[in-house]
Amino acid sequence: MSRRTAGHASRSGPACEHAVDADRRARRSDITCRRVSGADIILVLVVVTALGFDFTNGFHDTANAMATTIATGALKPKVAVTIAAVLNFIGAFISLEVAATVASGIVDPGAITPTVVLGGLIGAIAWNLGTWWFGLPSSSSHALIGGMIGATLVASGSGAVEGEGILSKVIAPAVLAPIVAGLVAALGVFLVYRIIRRFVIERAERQFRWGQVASSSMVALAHGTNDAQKTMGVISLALIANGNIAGGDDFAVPTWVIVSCATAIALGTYTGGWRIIKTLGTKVVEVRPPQGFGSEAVAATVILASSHVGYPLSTTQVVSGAVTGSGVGRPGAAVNWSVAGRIVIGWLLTLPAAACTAGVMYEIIDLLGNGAGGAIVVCAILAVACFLLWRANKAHAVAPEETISEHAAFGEAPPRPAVVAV
Amino acid sequence: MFADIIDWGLLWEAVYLSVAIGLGVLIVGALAVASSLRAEDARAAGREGASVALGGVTVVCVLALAGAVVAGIYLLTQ
Repeated sequence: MSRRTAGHASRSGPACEHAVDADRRARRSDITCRRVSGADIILVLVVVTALGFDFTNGFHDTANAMATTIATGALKPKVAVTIAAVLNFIGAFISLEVAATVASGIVDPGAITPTVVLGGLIGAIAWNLGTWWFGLPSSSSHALIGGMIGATLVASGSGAVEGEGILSKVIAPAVLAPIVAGLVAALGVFLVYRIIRRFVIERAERQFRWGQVASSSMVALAHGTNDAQKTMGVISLALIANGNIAGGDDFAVPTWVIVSCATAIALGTYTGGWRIIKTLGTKVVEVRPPQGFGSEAVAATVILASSHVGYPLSTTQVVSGAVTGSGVGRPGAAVNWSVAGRIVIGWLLTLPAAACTAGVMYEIIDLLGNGAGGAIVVCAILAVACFLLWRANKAHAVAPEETISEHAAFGEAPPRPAVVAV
Repeated sequence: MFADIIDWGLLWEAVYLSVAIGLGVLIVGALAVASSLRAEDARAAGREGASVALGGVTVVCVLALAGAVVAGIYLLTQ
């Protein structure tokens, strides 16, 4: 109990009521005097936009964990996205290491201001929404990194961007990880089919169902652990910059940030980005259960092995590489290389495209005085773009049932309905 | 210049861990399925001893996979 409250508690009768009234008046006066500053408005916009990015990250990346499981019919679409959402939520609480190191080694921390963060986030969201519209599984992490680089470049020049960090932390793993995942999945799935070749294939495939569910769940958990933390880091950066929390050795991610980021990514995951699930589960290659198990198990292994040695990876790129590799490894499977090529082009464009959009957004904020007015304008542009995309999506929606392969191993693929969903 | 920036030792470690554990998990998973199917066949053919032995192999493989999942969750928490 505080000293002031203890003092009130010791009084009684009219004297006490008088003291309480005086206290209330003083508090009201404090609230009235503390005017909301432009920095506070920008901070609120950064937090809301960061949670919006987390949401798009969730629905953009649902496919990573569940596309193959849904395609083979091992889990029904809604059940799969529910499991992925719950595991993403849990994953966000497992570790907070990444949250403390987001963007470090990529841009100069001294150059990061709330408006730079806002520009970066809007660039990342725009790229996520654009690739979702075209059903391309691109990396949300690279979109965020690209956005931060673009906004920093425009705000502080090339000296604030750490080229070596980008090369060693982003480019090298981005090139190597999908290739390794693809090669391991190709060889692994080939060996799996060699081991089960003596059995009737439909009978053997049925046995892989639980393996698929387990391996997909691991990918969902790893995704929640890695990706929710990136948004926590961004919000924490803005809170430190605004003086709301301490940085340095006293740094701790506030509980409300952890809970809100976990909730945003889980809700996004539950929404289920059906366009990307359809691409990854049915268009790259027809996925059979041993392939689904193989690609997700290899993806989980590559992600965990890389995390173990400290390499941040894009879950999307690893899973896409593994799914393509599993198609190469399965005897008789035909990989659709034109779709795979489109996905790779999307990866190549992610960093520069998100950087350009973020740079333009930061420039608009800067032109309008680098304050709350500019921040409100760019957020309004983003809101209008989201609304237009939402309206356009209503006319050309992908239904959850369309993400199940026509030759699903479990249950029957239902007829293709014209149902509205994202 | 490129070679100096990249920590090839760490990169190589990530690659060989991915290859070794990834292939290991898939092979153990396939062996679990194969032994379980052969156990079913042996039981149907009335070969109880072979069925029990193959069932044991299945259990060992499934336990190994469960161990890999637990190890994975442990790594996530580190």
